[in-house]
Amino acid sequence: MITDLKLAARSLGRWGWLALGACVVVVAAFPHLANPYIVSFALSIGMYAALAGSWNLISGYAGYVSFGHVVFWGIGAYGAAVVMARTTLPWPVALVAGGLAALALALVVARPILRLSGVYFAIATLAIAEGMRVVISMTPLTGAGSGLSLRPVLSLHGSYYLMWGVVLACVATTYSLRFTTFGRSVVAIRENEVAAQSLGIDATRRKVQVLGLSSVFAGLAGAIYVLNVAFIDPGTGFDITITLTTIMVTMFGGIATVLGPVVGALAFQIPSELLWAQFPFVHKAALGALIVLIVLVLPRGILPALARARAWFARRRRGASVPGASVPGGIEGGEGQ
Amino acid sequence: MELTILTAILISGLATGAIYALAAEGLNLIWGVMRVVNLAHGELMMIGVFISYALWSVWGVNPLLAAIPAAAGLFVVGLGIERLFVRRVIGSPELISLLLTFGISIFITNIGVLTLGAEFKTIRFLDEPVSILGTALPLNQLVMAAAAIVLSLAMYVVLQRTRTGTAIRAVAIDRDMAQQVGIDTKKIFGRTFALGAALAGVAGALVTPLVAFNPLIGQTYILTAFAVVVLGGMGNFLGALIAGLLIGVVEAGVAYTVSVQASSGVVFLVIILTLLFRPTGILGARE
Amino acid sequence: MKRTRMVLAAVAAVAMLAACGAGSGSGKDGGDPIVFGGALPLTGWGSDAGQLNNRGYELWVKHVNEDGGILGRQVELKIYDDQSDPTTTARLYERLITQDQVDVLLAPWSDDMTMPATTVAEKYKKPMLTGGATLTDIWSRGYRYVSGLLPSSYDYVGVAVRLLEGKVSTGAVLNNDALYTTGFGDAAVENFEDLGISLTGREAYPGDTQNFAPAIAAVQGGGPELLVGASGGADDAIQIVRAAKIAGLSPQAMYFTIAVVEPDFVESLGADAEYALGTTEWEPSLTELPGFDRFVSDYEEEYGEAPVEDVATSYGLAQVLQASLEKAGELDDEKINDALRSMEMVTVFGTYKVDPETGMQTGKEIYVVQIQDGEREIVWPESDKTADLRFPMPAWSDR
Repeated sequence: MITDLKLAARSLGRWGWLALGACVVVVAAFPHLANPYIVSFALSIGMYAALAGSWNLISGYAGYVSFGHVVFWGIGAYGAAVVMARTTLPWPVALVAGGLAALALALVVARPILRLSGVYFAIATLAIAEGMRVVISMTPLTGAGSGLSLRPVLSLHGSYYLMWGVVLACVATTYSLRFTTFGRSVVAIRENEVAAQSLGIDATRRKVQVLGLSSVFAGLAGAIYVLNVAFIDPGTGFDITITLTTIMVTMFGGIATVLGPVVGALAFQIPSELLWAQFPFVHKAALGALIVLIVLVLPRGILPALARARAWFARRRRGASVPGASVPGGIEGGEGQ
Repeated sequence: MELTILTAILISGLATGAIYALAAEGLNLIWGVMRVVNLAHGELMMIGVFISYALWSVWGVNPLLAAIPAAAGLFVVGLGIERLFVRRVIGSPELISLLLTFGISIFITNIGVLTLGAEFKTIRFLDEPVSILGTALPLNQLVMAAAAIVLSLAMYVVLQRTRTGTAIRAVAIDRDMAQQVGIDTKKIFGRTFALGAALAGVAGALVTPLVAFNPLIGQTYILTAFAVVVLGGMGNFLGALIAGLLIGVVEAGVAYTVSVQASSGVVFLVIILTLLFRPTGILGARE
Repeated sequence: MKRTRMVLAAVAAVAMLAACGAGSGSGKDGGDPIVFGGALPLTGWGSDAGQLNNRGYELWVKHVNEDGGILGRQVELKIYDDQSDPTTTARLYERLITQDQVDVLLAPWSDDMTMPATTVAEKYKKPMLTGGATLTDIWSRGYRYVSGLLPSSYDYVGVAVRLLEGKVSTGAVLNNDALYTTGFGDAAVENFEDLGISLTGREAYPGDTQNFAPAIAAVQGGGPELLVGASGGADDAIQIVRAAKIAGLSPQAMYFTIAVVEPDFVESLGADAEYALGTTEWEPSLTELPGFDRFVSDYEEEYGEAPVEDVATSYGLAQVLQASLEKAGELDDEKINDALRSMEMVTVFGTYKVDPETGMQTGKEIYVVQIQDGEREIVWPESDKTADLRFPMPAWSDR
């Protein structure tokens, strides 16, 4: 594993590390230059980047498309909220508790539902999310239907840094996938699970691991969210709109690409934010229309579309017909980027 | 268990279940024939509800009669949606259609709120009590349920006996083969989606006197509709009817014996358990 | 790949520049209007109340500006729709405080939305006077910047239950599972205990419940003499009444929170609404309250109907805020907060007086109403009543 990661690091090259450093500096400096509302907006972009990155792992790379992904975020938020509301432990404990709660849920449901495929898996995840919502809204420990209110513990800047830290970790993990046996097995499973198994890959174990990994990032995002907003209720914690936005963000940016989640979060949330407060229902209707548009026009997302455009331009410049660089990507294709 | 409670569970469960079945049959049809998962199905039902409500408030038309214009209206809407949007994703992975119809559902719901407002409305129609074996039930619930069952069976007959129905079933079994024997699959797809939408519209019209509704009501029914389709077997029409009735009874059972809150979890439990232990549904899917 | 990275870095840089450019709002000078901002459920499950509250604020702004404004400046209103979602409410108040930088905060509606909104207000040390919220928890968290216009749910429900003391010995409670209605349900149960009424059954129902027969069946067995429906609005109360009638559940009295004052309740139920009890903190028959005539006549002129409790609540709330501004003499949050905690006054809504330690309302009057002959009559307290209590309610079959 370590050698693989070293290989991954080296593969970035000088320019790669420079670009990465520049991004880190920009992200780190941002809160000190913008007003609190913009920073809180950047925080929510980070949250969706983390969620999208997390979804990308199980759905884009492993090929098991989850329609209930919000459940990990919600359980992460509730895990942290319960620790803060019911104990006197400090917030880092709550944060870890959130991540662990999501992981626990993932490990419990993984084996049964990963036996399903395609749309059945998607529906099963949807049902789990709904079911969790009902269960949580009946449990006094989690505040039942009314939810939990906490004293705000994390400052805006603190939440912002933590969230983007999670994003960085997720992006790094996704990037390193290609260099590890783990990552390659996962992609192999997506391409052809039976064939992968015949090559000796323990598909079940790998799938469970991916789901677990994916759930941790989502859970941490949820935990940071609740530590900042200081309120969670079942309606918010398991809101299907969060899953859908996550999917749209990832699709927008490019499924099964490393940077797709971040690009998608930026590109999707900015116009969304400009509309939501002023025109709440028009905004939602527009969201619906946008989803329809994206599905019909850009099913693989911005980055692959850009790459395809780049390849097309390259072909034109070269003049002669070069065997079409149809960039693999998306749910059906191979690994992107 | 007391006889009255048992009767209440059975009868009111079957009554609500009949509506669930009707609401889900359209979804089942679309899924089975076109391999398209229509997440906007609840919203199609909602349009039916509001057509029925409009006819009631303006001309005093009762919901049973309103079901006819509701069916016609939704048929047209369904044709439109299929031609403009759904047609392009036939053949794609089911997930794509899930996302597409989700977008459509969000759009319709919010346009509904913008134009009709979000307040709850109710209508009163036949809400006298009827006593059966010691249990009192509202007459409208029984009447609507009977109508739903009759319509479901009528739909079944249409599918089995008419030319269009047979063509639809042929396309569901093997699309390419159906094309080769001369069936115009494009037209069938359009008709199927429209038919599915019409069924949803009728379900909506029938449900109008039974509940308090607003444009968001579609979201309440969609997960139940999924449960019915999954339990009944994708594409299996009779399966959907039986599954709907079963789910209605189980839900009522839990509501009366455990708690009302717990009964809202029944639907999800049905989906999970079915997918885990008998993914093809109780009667088996038609694949 | 590295080009994409650079594109990303460029995007981030552009975003950063845009953010700085869009930075903090300009300071306000003396001639600018004072902005009162808040979030209400204009859509969603709270929309009935939200719309009414909004009207109250709008009417108040009209009157205040007609009278010359506050501290010599005109008043402007900024209301967002939180769609009855508490998370949206919290985000909107963050926006109102940090981005829009409104001068004074107006209240959201319902405990569900008020809880997170007050947390935001406290975080930024901006005073908030809550309106449609009664949960004791709101003021028992040790918050310094939150005061309440309405008394706690214990009293809100209590006055109705106490009226029936000695008349009923058993009771059952149905409550919507939202935060504020669960609070009402808890308050009912507490009051039962204190008055020696035995609780024969309690059932909570999800907000989107379609079929109330099981809930009625769950509480019917004990033969409760008093049925308390902690409903969130007219629609669930209407369905409870209908289901009770079908099931033949005929308590001697029925009490519903909130629903009874909504016109829809009587309109939809017709004769079945008779005898239903409710509580309210304002009625159109309380003509003695200051500013009453102008409030009622202007509202009727604008909307063609008499104002109801929610309208008076927000109007009165704004009046209290206005008075706190005048007492403070300037737009200073600390001074405004001190004024809110220490003032006593009577508005078109009634008495305002809070506990200086917690901010909880102590002086507000509460009235018990009953539907009689299609009209809402005040049956308690004696000093304000317009009709006598009709008790017991005849059985459904006898009506």
